[in-house]
Amino acid sequence: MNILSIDSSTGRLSVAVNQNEKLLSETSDYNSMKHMVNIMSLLGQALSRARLTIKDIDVFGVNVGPGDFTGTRIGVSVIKILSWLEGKPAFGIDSLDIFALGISYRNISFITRCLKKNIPVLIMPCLDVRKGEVYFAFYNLTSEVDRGSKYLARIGTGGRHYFINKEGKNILVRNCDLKDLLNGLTANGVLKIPDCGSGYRNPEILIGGNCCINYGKMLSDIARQNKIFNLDKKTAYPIARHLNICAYFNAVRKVKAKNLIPVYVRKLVPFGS
Amino acid sequence: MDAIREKSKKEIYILGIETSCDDTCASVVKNGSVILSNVVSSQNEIHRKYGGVVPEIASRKHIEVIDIVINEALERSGINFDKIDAVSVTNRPGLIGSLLVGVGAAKAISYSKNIPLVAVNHLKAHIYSNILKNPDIKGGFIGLIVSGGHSSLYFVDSDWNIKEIGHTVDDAAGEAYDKIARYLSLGYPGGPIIDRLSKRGDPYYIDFPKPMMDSGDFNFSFSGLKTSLIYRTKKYKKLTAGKNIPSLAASFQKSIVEVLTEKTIKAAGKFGVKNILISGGVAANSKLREEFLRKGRENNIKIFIPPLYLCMDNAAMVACLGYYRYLEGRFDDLEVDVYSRSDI
Repeated sequence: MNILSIDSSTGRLSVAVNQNEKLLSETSDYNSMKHMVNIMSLLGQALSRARLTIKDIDVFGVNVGPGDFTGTRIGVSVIKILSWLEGKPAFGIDSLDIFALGISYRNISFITRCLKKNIPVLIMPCLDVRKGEVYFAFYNLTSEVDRGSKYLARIGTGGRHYFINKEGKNILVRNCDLKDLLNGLTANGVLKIPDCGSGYRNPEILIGGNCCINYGKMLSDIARQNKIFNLDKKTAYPIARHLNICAYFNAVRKVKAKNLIPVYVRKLVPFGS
Repeated sequence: MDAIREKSKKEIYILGIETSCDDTCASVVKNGSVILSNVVSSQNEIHRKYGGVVPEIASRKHIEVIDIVINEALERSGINFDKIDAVSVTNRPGLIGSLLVGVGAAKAISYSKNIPLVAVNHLKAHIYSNILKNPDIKGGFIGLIVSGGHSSLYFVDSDWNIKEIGHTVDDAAGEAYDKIARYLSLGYPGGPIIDRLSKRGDPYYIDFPKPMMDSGDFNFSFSGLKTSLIYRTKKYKKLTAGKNIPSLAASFQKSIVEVLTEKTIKAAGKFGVKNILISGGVAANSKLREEFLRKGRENNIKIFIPPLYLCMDNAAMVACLGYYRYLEGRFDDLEVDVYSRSDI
């Protein structure tokens, strides 16, 4: 299965082509004012480096946000039309899912060590969504899943694989309230995820995402004061190849592709009305 | 351009896409003049409660429907993509967030179907809304584009070089209509509402100023007129009594229409042309149409105004302009950008 995904929802525009879970090519550019100018040439380059044409692509993926509104729509518009014209499914992947995968890949050794010792590991991608608010969710990792489980993706190394599963809902909170919220959720060393029956005793929680850019100090303070939390500052940008992985597993699980629409964190209130 | 028309014998199908403001539009046009389909997904109902277009809302709506609108245009035309020769899309001027959706879609079409892309100027496309219905128009005319976003005059010479000779220095005419309608709580969009009310009113009820009528140039200004109405109605509250609203509207409209018609006719005199092409949303205004046709007859000038559905933003005019660019081989590469402003 050949997959092509576009991520245009941040200052970094990237296009990646995979064959199943294997990356064939990835192109990117860091000029956020030029996403419309660069998007088709990056797409063309990614395909030619993978020695494929657009007709060879079986599944499309696109980051639907939350992220930059304008940038996100560029990618969504292109993928929406390409998937329609090529008659192939397209999956809109939430930013948080892509970050969850990225944080997991970067910390696979740490994750493997913890899980071998039966220490629960949670991934917590955290996004700066402006207006002084942050947006995050929890994902856990399991070595097995039930049939029909809605896992996000499978990652692994050395013959050992783990499934990433989203737990509970996405949470929007003011940045000044984040520390108290997280401390409250992990009182007495037990993580209780809101709107979810799950509870994890003495987990390791990996925080990453673009919050590391604007709220790095705040998150470092949280991690220093509450040892349950570990900060990975090097996961500030989503990576298109991870989009491909998410799209791939959507296809494997035969998820029905929906109409691609960007994700907005808040309801729009024009002019403060 | 006249010579280029002569050359083409093959039937040429152009898909037009227009998303520069708040209407998502797609159209298939044959040979630059036969409209096979013309689809417009309007957002008027959505922006009505805000009294004007909210750019972020417009952009969100475009991305929701762009594929549906394009698909609808093809289905209604009975033409499939195999027969489409090129895709023409507005890339300037307009709201950036809106333009991006249409241009992104057009680039994807061009890439997937391996057909040329033509990126066009929205204002120039409005001029071509008249050429759609009158393909034999020759170069050498005055063009007036008057809408919610623009009020500009152009001289188009016999070689089809287009030069702007005047523009609004503040509000566009359609914008003035919208603001007054909002001020008087009449609804949105203001133009059609004021036009309808004016028919029952006395246009001599108030003698509003005719801004820049004697400025010696071909520029316009409408914000002073708007201010004059607001000032007078605040001072004389009876002017906004229910029974007087139609006459207030008629007087306001008379001032706008007179300025537009007289300056445009003067421009035709100065540049020695006998044809005037009117386009844009305000070209749907019944008083404007009536006055232009009357003044045109008086001055022996032929007036071209599109049918109402081609006055509003639409993709048929974009496809028409795209047709002539296609014949000239003037295509754009897939790195074309979008622009909020541009000269024609």
